Amino acid sequence: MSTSEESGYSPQIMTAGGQTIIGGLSRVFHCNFYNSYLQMAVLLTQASGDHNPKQLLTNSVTPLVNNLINCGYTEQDLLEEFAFCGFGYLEQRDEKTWETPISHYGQRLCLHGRPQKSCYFTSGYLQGMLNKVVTETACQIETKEHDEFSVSDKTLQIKNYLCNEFQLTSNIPERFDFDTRVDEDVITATVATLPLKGHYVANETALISAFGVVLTNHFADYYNKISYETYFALMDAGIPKEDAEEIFTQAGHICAFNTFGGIMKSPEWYGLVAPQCDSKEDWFHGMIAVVNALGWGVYRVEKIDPKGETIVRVYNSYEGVGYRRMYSQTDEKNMSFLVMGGMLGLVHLLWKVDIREKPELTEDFYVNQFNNIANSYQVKQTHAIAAGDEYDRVVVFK
Amino acid sequence: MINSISCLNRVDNNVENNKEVYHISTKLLIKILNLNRENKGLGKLEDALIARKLGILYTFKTNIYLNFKNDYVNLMLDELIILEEIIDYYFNVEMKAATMKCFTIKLEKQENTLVKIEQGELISLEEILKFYTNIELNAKDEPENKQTISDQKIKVPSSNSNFFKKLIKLFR
Repeated sequence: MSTSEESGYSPQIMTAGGQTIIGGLSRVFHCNFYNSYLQMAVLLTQASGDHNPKQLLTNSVTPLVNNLINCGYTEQDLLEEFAFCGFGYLEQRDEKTWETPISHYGQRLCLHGRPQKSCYFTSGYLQGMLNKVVTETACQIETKEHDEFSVSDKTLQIKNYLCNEFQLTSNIPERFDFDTRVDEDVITATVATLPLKGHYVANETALISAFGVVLTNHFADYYNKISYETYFALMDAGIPKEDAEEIFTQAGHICAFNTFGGIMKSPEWYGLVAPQCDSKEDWFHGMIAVVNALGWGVYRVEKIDPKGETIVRVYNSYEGVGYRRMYSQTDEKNMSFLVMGGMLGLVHLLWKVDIREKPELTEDFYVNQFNNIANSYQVKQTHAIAAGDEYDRVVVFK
Repeated sequence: MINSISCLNRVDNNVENNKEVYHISTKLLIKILNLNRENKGLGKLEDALIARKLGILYTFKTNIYLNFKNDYVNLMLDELIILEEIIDYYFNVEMKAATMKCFTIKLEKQENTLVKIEQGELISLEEILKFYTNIELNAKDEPENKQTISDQKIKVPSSNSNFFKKLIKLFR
C-alpha cells in the first residue's frame, strides 16, 4: 500500500516477480524521452492501409481503463491515479470538454517533426473513463495554453486485448556470483521507497520530475500493445526486420542514456550506490539493482566482459509477459526491445561514454557520441519469454 | 569519388520513359537535413536514426522500401517531392525538391571520374560550400565562366577532380 498523502489518494500497489501491479495492471516507470521516441516510432507508420497509428495510440489505453473500472475504480480514482502516475492534472471544463493544464504528453514530449497534437494517451484514458469517443482539440505542444479534449455523443466499446492467461514465474534464481561489494537488495529496496509519484493538483507536482527527466508510472500493456502492433505493421509493409527492431530499441537506448545517465549522476546515486562501487562493473551492478525497482521484471547479470560479451537475463520482463498475454507464442527471439535498447545503453554509458565523469547528457552530446561508431556495441536477444523461454536474455557485444 | 560528394546525381543510364533519376548521396542528404535543423534551432539527430526513419517513412508513403542506410538512393522527381514532404512533416525542416535538384552534379555517361560543371552544378557547389565553409559562391552570375567562382575568393582549379577531392575532404 502506498499513500499519496497530499491528495489522500492511496492506490494499492503490489509487487510480484519484479512487476509492479496497480489496479490489477502492470506498471512500469519510463521517462519522457522513452515516451517521445516510442510515440514517434508508432507514428512513422501513418498512411498504411487499415493500420491507424493515431487510433492505436489512443485506443490502446481505453480497455485498460475499462479494466480499472471493472476493478471498482471510480471516476475520482481515475483522475487521481492519472496524476499519481505522472500523466498530469485532468479536469472537466464543461459537459463536453476536458482539459489538462499540466500534462506529460502535452508538455514534456520532444518531437522531431512539426508540432502536432500529441496527447493520444490522454484522449484514450478519457475514452475509457467516460465510455465516449474523445478527441484532442488543442495541445500545449502547439503552444496552446491547455490540452483540450472534446467528448462526443458516440459511445465506444474497445475489446480488451489482454486475452491470454500467462502467469508470472516465481522460479527466479539467485544472482550470479560476482566479486562485488554492491548490495543489490538494499539498493532495490531503497529506490522503491523514493516518492516517485505525482499529486492531484493543478501544478507541476502532477508530474514526476526526477533524475533530470520526467517520469511516468505507465501501463506496461499500453507500451506492449502500441509497440508490437506497430512492429507487425512495419513487417507487413516490408521493412527489414533489423530496421523495425532498431526503431524500438532506439527508444530503449535513448531512455537508458537519459534516465540511467541521470540516475548515475544524481545525489541519490552518489549517496547510496557509488560508495559501494570500485569499478565500472560495480556501477553496472548498481544500475541493475535500480532497474529492479522500476517494475520491468527481475534483471540478473550473467556476465560482464566489456571486451567480449555482457549478458543480462530478465525474469518476468514486462515485454515478454505482455506479449504472451496478447498473442500466441512466437518463434522470434528479438522481441524485448526495451531490454535490448536499455542494456545496450547502459553498456554505452559505462564503456563508451564513462558516465562516472558526469558528462552533460545533452542531445548534442548524444548525437556526437553515437554518430561516431568507435567503441560502439551491438545487442542481440538469445532467449525470449515471447518465444516460450523461461526468461529474456540479451547479449551486448562489440 | 564523385559520388561521395554529390547529393543528387543524375544518372543518364537510368533514364526511363524520359524520367530523370537522381542518384542521392544519403550521407550528404542527412548532413544537410541536420544542418537545416540546427539553423532552425532544432536539435541535431543521430545519422542512423534519420536514415532508419526516412526508410520507414518512404516505404509507408510509396509501398517501396528504400534503404537510406546505403550510400545512395535513386529517386525520380515525383519521389523527390515525396521525400520533401516527409522531411518537412517528420523532421520539421524545409528541403525543397527543387533545391535538392540544385545539388545535382551531372556525370559524363558512365564516367564518374570527370565532372562537367554547368550552372546547376555550380549552384551545387555554392550550396555545399555555403554549408561547410561559409564561403559565398554565385554561380548564376557567371554561367559562361563555368570554372570560376564569382566572388573571386576561390578559383576552381583546372583539374576538376582535384577540386572535388578538396570538397570531399570537407565532407569527412
